[in-house]
Amino acid sequence: MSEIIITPKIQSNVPLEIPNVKPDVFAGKSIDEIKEVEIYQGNEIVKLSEFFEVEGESAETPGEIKIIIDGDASNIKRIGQGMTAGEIIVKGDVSMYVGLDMKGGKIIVEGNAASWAGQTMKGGELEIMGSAGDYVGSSYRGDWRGMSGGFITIHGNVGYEIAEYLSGGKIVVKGNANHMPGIHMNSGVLIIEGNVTSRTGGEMSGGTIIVKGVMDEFLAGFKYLGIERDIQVNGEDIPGVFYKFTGDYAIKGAHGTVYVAVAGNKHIVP
Amino acid sequence: MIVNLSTGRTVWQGQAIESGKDLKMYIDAAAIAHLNDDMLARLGIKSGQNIKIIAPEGDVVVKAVATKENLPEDTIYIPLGPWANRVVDPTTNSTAMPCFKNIPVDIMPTDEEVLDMPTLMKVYGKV
Amino acid sequence: MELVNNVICPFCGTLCDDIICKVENEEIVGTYNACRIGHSKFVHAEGAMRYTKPLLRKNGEFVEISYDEAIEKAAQILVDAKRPVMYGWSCTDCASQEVGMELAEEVRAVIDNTASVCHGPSLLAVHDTGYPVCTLGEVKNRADVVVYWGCNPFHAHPRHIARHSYARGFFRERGRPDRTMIVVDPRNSDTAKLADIHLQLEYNKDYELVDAMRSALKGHDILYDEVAGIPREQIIGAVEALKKAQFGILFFGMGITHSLGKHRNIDTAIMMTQELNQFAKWTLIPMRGHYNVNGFNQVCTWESGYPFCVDFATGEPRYNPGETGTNDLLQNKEADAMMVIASDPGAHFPQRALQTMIEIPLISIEPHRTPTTELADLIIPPAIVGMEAEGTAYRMDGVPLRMKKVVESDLLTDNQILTKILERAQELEASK
Repeated sequence: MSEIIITPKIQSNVPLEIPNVKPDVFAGKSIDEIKEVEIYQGNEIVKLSEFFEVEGESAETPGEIKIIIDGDASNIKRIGQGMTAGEIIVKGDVSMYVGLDMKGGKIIVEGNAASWAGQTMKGGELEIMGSAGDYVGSSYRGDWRGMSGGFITIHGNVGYEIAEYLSGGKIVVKGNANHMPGIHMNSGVLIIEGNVTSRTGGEMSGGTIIVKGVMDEFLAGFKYLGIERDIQVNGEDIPGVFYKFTGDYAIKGAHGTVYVAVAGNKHIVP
Repeated sequence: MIVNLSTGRTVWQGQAIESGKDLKMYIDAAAIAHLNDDMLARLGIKSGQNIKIIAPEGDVVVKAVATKENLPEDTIYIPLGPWANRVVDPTTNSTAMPCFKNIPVDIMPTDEEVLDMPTLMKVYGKV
Repeated sequence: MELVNNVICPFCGTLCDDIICKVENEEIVGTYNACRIGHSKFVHAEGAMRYTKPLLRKNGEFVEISYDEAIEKAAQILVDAKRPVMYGWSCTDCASQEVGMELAEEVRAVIDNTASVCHGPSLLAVHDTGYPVCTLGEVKNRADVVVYWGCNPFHAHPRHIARHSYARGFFRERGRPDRTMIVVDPRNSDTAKLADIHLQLEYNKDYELVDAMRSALKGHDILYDEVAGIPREQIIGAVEALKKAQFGILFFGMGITHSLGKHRNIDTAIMMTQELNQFAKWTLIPMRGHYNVNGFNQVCTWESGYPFCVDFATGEPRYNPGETGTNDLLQNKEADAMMVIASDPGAHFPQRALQTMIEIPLISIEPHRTPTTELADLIIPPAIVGMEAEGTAYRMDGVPLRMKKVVESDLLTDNQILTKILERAQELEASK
């Protein structure tokens, strides 16, 4: 795999948007051509080389390209937007919309991500070693379809409304989740290994949520089905003892499933 | 004392913003905190004495007044305005909307004065 | 003294249209019918500062400049900025808002109105769920069950109750006795004191309560004995009362848009209103604050496809409250210039947003001395719409009304100021 290293040389006072920094655009271009790729600085179009050093070697097809963003990208939005193949590794934090509308390939963020990581993602793999903001794997505003395929792993904590309108694929959060994970979820799988605050699965119509930590509060629109041991979700075995709920019956015809670990969660059982 | 802060409209605050935000009327209407009688008692103060409110993002001095609209336990209510906004929670949770209601803050009686509007705005240090 | 009849009040979204203004020597000296707040807007208060000349901050002091200089300066700031934000728009007329949209597109700015800190969550919910709305006339003539959820019209919309829910209507001949009034509020507010049913829920628990109510509405059990501090039986009782309505109306305000969950509270409340239509006629109206906040959302939507928080950075409209909201742009330190018109974010934004406002060039198109003008670099005073200039405004229920010019003013209108800034910005952009 050929590596292209992009190093931020100056920080912009307003955010940069770099949807063009992806293997799909770089494939078949020389390093000099890549330097000319257009990015947005606020409301102005500038060349990639204005803000980044570019070095390494390109390749003919996106699948052969690994892009390394070597530095702080906490003011840079839309990294890997719509990518279909290859790899992007970010050696620091990223701003909003990392992996937006991603269809294939892999993105690894070694730091934290701001909101809308993996929004409307359709395939591929997004891994964030730190924490992520709100709306991980969510829909576009006003749409009823969020992430529909692929796999997101967040090693740290996440904010509000993650997996909003989730319509497929899988999200795993190793840390804690704030309010309303899986809100309006249609299908797919959301696993939270840490704790959650409230409104898990609010207005969900389908799909499965598994909470392994402590849930502060739960919603009255669900129905309690009893205790289940060593569950299987989409062919994957998940060991443990769980309270099982279905709902959210605030929604007509809802058939979502919420598993909550028995340990520490007696207070949410009616 | 840690309490729950809520903010919102009062008709007096509405009257004051339309009359003039540089008038004393505005201070009387918006640089105040409404408290239940039992909270005034717990603080050991009378209606009309000043309290200091401390939040993670800032602090402010306002006059405590006995409310006529009874509040839930442990809640205080400040009419919206630049005094309240010193101590609200600015986070929008990615919705564009800051948290103007239900914010944990620390309150205590104080001898410090309530700042008028122009003096309060100088706190931000515009040059 | 002259009396001017049928004046529309430019304060809140109720847009009372029966005000009579007493005019002496081109000054409004008194009103009939207006509420305490509306009267204060019409009649100048002794001692309050009204700007009559544009002001520019130089070395910490304001100096008078001409309108032409002010417009040149404003256009320069907007054209030079890479992420300008143009905020406010809710106390001006639709035609001025329309010029504002064109200006935002010209300078590739983000344009946003005060809904951002008021009914923005309702707008987010509306495009998720729909908008089963009716007019205030229908409320007056038909409604027999009136719900005020998280709002206190006695203080915020002082004549709303008298004009629309206590008034006698065609099918409600006796007025108040023909209606059931339900108030949902954690406070024993002045509105709640008048309610037939007061659901005194715990704060930040609106979503939990609606979730339980919607579940009960579909014939399911409520999982817990108590939700939001309200016993199961009382929730079921309230749901039955809603189902028995002939014509129900849900008014909702900041108590629910500001509470935990924000737009998700509105989303589920709208869904409940829709679902109640299986049993009874149910509608809703958001209690809009500024008199033309709704108008901006209408204008913005017909111009760009989105109601607020519209980002023209790439030349085409993009929309994502949370990224393109004015508070997000300021708090994330994205904005590098700001124009404020017809609103007062200096008073009504949290401290963290103000900390950015003082760091960037700030233009304030504003008639009075406000917390925003205290922070501004440039102040341009306009004539006041609804008093010194005519124009169209949208009432909270979406009915457009034409506002009157009651007295003359020497000052430029918002529309004239914006048009001049737009023309200058077009010249500057063309010469770039």
